Amino acid sequence: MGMFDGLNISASGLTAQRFRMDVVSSNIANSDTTREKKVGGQWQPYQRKVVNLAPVQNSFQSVLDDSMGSSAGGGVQVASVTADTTPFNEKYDPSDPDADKNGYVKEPNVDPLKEMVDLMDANRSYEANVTVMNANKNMLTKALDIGR
Amino acid sequence: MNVLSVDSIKPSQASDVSSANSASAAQNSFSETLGKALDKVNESQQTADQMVTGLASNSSSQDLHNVMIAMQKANILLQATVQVRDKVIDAYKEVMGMQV
Repeated sequence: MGMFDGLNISASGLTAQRFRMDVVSSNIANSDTTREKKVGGQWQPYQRKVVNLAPVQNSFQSVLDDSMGSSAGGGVQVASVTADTTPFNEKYDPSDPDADKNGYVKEPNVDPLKEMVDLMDANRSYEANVTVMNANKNMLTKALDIGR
Repeated sequence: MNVLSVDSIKPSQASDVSSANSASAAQNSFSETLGKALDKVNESQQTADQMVTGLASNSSSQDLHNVMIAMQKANILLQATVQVRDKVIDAYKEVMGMQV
C-alpha cells in the first residue's frame, strides 16, 4: 500500500464522474440530432449514450489481494459507453427532409429529465470524491504533525 | 491492534556485521535512502510542474483535478521532507551542544 493510494482512488472517481458529465453533455447537446448514422439509406437519430463503470483490476497483485480479502480496491474506471436502445420518439413533421413517407420524423430517445438527474448525480458524486480526497489529505497532513 | 514489544524492533542488519563495516554501510545506506527520498520529492514536483504547464498550454489533454491532485501530492511530500530536515537539524544541534 502506497502513501497516495487513497488519493489515486479518489482521482479515478473524479475522472469517471467527469466522463459521465461529458456524456450527459453530449446527450443534451444532441437531443435534437436526427442524423447520427445511416442505416439502409435512412438516417437514424442520435441514440442516448449510457456510461458503464467497473472497478479497476489491472494487475495480478490486485486480483490476488482481492481474492485474499486484503485489498482496499483500486478505484473505478469507465468500462464502456453503450447506446440506450429505448425506441425513438416520433414527431409528425412532413416538411422535415428526414421524414418518412407517412410524414413522421424519428427524434433521439434523449429524455431531458433523465439527463438532468444524471447531471446532478455526476455532480454530487464528484463532490463526494473531492470530500473524500480532502479528508485523505488532511489525514496525511495530520500524520506530519506527529511529534511536532 | 498489535502492540509490538521493544525487543522485536532492531536496527536492520546490525546484528551480523562488524562495527566498522556497519558504520560505513549504515552511512552509505542512509545517504542513499535520503538521496532517493529527495529524488522522489523532486520528481513529484517536476511532474506537477509539467502537468500545470500542459494544462496551461493545452498541449496535453490534462484533467484539472489530476493536476490539482499532483500538486497536493508534491506539497505533502515537500512538507514531509521539511519535517525530516527539521529533525536532522535538531539532532545536529543536540550533538553540537553536548558537554565534553
